[in-house]
Amino acid sequence: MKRQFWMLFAFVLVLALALAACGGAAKTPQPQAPSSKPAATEAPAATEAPAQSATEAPAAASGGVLRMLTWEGYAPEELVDKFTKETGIKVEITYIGDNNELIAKMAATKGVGFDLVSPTLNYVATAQEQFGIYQPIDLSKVNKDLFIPAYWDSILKNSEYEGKPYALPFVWGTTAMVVNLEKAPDAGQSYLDLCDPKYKGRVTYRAKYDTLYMFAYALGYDPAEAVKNEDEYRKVMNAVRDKMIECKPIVRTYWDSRQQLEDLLKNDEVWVATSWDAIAWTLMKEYPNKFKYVVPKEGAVGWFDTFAISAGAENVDAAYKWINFVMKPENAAVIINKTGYQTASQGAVELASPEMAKIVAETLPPEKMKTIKWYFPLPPYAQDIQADVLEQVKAAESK
Amino acid sequence: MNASSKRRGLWLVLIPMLLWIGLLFVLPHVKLFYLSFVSRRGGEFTLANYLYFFKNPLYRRIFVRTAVFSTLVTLLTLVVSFPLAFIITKVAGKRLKAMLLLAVILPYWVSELIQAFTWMVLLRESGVFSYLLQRLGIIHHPVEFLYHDYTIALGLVYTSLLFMTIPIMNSLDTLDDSLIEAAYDLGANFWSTLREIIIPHAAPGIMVGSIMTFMLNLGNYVTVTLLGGKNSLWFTEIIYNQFIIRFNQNKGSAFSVILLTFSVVFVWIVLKVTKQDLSEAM
Repeated sequence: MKRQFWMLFAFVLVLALALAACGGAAKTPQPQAPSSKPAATEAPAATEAPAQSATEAPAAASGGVLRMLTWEGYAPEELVDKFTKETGIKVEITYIGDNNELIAKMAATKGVGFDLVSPTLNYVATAQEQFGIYQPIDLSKVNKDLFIPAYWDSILKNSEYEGKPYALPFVWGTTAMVVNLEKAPDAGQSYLDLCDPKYKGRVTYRAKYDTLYMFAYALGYDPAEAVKNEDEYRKVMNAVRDKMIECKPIVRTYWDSRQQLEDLLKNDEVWVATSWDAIAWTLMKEYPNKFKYVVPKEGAVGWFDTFAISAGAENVDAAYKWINFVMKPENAAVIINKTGYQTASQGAVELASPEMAKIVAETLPPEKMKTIKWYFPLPPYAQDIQADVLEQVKAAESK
Repeated sequence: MNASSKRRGLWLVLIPMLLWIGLLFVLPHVKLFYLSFVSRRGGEFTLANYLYFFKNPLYRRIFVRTAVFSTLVTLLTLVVSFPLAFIITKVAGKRLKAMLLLAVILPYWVSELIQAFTWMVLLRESGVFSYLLQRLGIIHHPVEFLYHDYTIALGLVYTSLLFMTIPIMNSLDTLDDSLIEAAYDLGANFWSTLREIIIPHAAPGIMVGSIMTFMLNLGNYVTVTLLGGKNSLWFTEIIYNQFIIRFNQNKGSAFSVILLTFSVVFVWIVLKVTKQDLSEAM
């Protein structure tokens, strides 16, 4: 009985290994077949990629399926439907909430399972260097006229790896503070207001990298410069850590999701918070006299999200079609109106709703734009330093 | 039907389960185990991933906190579940029994994530509990019930209530009521009956329930992070950070193996100390 069991166990293991091997083999020699082959029938690596409805019947022969890995709000249903109607290409979307999550998902399968992704600029070249998850942008397939020239130049240059560009500009935004004008009208002069005992228990921010940068700037450091040297960066981040631990009794909780932040603010549980501009702007649209997006004297932290093509893409043409589609001003304007995010599309702002344009102009005027502190590229050691600091802050005892 | 064909039939029936466990449980764990013993770059054998954990006082502290907290929550779940299981099996009439059972099972019709969000709606400063207590005059200003250790405990007890109650009910079901009556006839009071008759009989169920609850608590991520807020750091979050934030599969694997080993050893020790046999308990 016992021997039989072990034999069966061995059999199962062998079978499993064989299956795994087949799975791997079947996937690799898959040259980019012209779009005639519907991508949906090829199940993505079953272990990791949570592709949605991969078993669905192949889409209309015209275009197949486009699989996107992107942020909430970057591909509104309205645009997806319009795209499918125009091109016959079906769109499947997987959402991410964090750049590291995006990279981990892509690295697990070398990008197989996704065609188009939207990483933040400062993560593109370093991720390409470490994991090789993207392919160079084929500029001949992109309509350059759709993009704001300054963004086009800067993003192509800053996403370069071994002389080739890996990303196109898409959406950008800032992170600064949102304050409740009724409860804390004076807050928002400096990021150190997040540590003001006046607001004890009425403060929230993320336990993520952007907060580290804010505190670093507020304490008089320049993290973008310090990051170039490991010891220097650790010194700066340790100072930030000490400040954040000192301030832990002030913070109510660390927010993680857009919904969570909105709930905290709308219920008056929190008066002073760090926030992405788009969240604050949509709140301001809803409650014009209650909330305000404020950029403190240290300047807002800025980020640029991009289009990048997966190294394992099976429908590259569809990816470029989507880029050329979504960057048309009338389509990009939909994203601006829906989510408040700013795009790199030439002429989209003019087509967006005047109400939103007014809020943006008020809270992020040109002189504030000049003070934006853009995200900087992170060497691998910087990731570890930041993670160390955040873990220590979260583990610190506080009332 | 002779014995050998009967046995063949048995194996045939078992194959789906064995495939399932082999492919989705054993194989990933073999990989996990392997990854934990090789270096991130180069891939040669190393113990550095484990040493990294044991040398780091922060990780040790979080680990101990997770383990102690999980144990306490398991005991708390037992205290809540045992009377419930006893009432359902021995005291309640047919209708009440069905209702109580439904009340235990119903919460599992929604996912753990939704449960956690529901707790947040109820317990937040501007939430239902705070409002009700103010209306009743028990408290005089809004109180935040979220982001405390007791909130985490509350959420964890709730998510594992079913897994403790059902096994205890199973074992109590087989307890002959006449034994309890006999104990009383012979002059025992409530406590001595509980101690001498009921608990010994229910011990296997208690054991199974506790093991499941303990494991669930130890490996929890969603409830702890959502309800615990700024003070929630749990060992699973450290593992998540290794895999996702630091892209370090090897250290992440080592940490996972440490957690797995600990829970297995801990359960084994508890079984030995209480002189329970797992195969009997199941």
